[in-house]
Amino acid sequence: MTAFANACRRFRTDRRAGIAVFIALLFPALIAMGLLAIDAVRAFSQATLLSSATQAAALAGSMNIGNYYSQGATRGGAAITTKAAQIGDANAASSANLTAAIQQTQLGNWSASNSTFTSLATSGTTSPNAVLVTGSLTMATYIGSAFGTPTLSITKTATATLNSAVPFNVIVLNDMGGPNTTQSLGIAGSQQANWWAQQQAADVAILKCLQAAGNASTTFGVTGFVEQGYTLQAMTTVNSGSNATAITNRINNVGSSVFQYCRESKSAKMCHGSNVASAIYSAIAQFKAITTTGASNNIVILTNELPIYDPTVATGQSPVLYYTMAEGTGVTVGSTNGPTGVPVGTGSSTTALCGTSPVCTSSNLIQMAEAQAAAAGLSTANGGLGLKISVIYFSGDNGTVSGHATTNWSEISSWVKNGGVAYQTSALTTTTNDGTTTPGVVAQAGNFCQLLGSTLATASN
Amino acid sequence: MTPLLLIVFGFFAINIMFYTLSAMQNSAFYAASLLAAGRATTANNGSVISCASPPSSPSAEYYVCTSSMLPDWATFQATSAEDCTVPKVSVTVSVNASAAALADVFSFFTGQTLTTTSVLMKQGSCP
Repeated sequence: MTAFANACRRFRTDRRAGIAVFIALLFPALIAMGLLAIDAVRAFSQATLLSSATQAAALAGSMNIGNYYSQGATRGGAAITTKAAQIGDANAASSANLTAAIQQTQLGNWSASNSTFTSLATSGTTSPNAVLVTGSLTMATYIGSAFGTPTLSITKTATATLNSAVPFNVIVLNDMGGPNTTQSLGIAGSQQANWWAQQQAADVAILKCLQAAGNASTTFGVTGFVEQGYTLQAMTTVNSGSNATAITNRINNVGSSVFQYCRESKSAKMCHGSNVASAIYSAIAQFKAITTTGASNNIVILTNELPIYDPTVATGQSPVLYYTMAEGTGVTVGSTNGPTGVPVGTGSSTTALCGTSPVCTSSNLIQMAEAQAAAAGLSTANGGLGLKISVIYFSGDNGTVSGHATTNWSEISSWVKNGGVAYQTSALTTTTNDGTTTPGVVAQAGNFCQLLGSTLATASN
Repeated sequence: MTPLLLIVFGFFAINIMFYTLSAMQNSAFYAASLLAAGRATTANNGSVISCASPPSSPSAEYYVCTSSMLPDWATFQATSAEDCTVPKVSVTVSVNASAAALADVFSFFTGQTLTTTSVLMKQGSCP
């Protein structure tokens, strides 16, 4: 008994190795706390990754809002959702113990003043300017099971809008040539006749994008061109009063009489020619009349052919008089008769390239187009306006007419300047998997809206 | 003593590693956004660039290596690529995991590579 009492006394009073006992008792707790810390930091890291994924998805979705305006709510909306998920999921990599994915993409409207997003489903409106993306992940925890949490779920949202920070000025140049047997492009007459209707829809789709972006100073104009350019819609601010409605009506009312402008107003002397140089010249002049500083200034060329001199039509009809540079002013490449400060041609020579004698050949017209595109794209540092040129080319031949889809594209895509986009489509319309008909040209006009760019409005941390 | 060191340095290393990973994610996202917007180019579509000798041109790899987002206790590698079929751009940042963990005294991460990739949709013309 005495020995036992002594042992107990020694245990109570002997402080040697006491910490070892303490550590031994605490060791499981230390391990648990450590694993908990690792779970926490893993969750933090994966949340950051998921946040990046939802942001990337929202940016991709909003960048494709043009699809809504060009292809409609069903197909356009599906395209936006698909693109958002494609980009978002590329960031949200899953692994053996982690599943991450974009769960939902909503189209709607972002109010900068209220910092709120309202989905189209809620508002019932049809003019989205923003995309809200929700992503989630489920992560297996190391120690969470002990606390009844074997998995951890994290949800992140991000909203991105069309960029409205700077004015996005656009002049669309519509190639209104045709129909004509010599430029049939190997397509059915009805499809060729539909060419202008598709361009109208493309113009309106671009206009709606600009309207949705909402910058108060953004302007929009439409210039048609056949043997020369002529203004269909002067540059007008899009987001002021009922301007957008008036512009839309103007575009839609440019009907068959104007479509046949060349034949009716010019007594059928020329019906085509696609003198895009004339239209670009006109666009430069129009841009000179507005404030371009601090804005994105864009020319969009919708065309279905190279500039062409057609001797069949021209025979006996003095066609050379109608290949003018703009609005009938008869300016020619090689002169310096462009808008103030903007060179017209390739040099300082005032010698007329064509237009009176000899006649403008097709190669002349192409050379003029290249020169005008170069003049439009000339940087401000070099005295130009630094206009951005994009092209949408309807090859139309579905590969049946040699050269249209390849050689022509090489030339037409060379007109692109300063980061503009270049799209080619072989069909005016295609039947999609949901049974609707999607205009190829119009769809590409929706894609042009990507140049507006997108910005993040909100993102959950 | 070893278990205690294991706990201290092990947890420290793992947390530093995740901190580094977050920095890499931010850096990759930043560079990808510049590449997507056309404000940066890809140094050499798919080639891996070491931040020990970053390119001088305004490429995505340049911005990864010089954006001050990455910690300076490890040498990172960066690569970027454009996929015009989507179109999308991607920027990948990688580092030796042991170096990233800073205090990997027990060599938990020796031979491992820490990698993060940020993918964004390409704006405008591609390429």
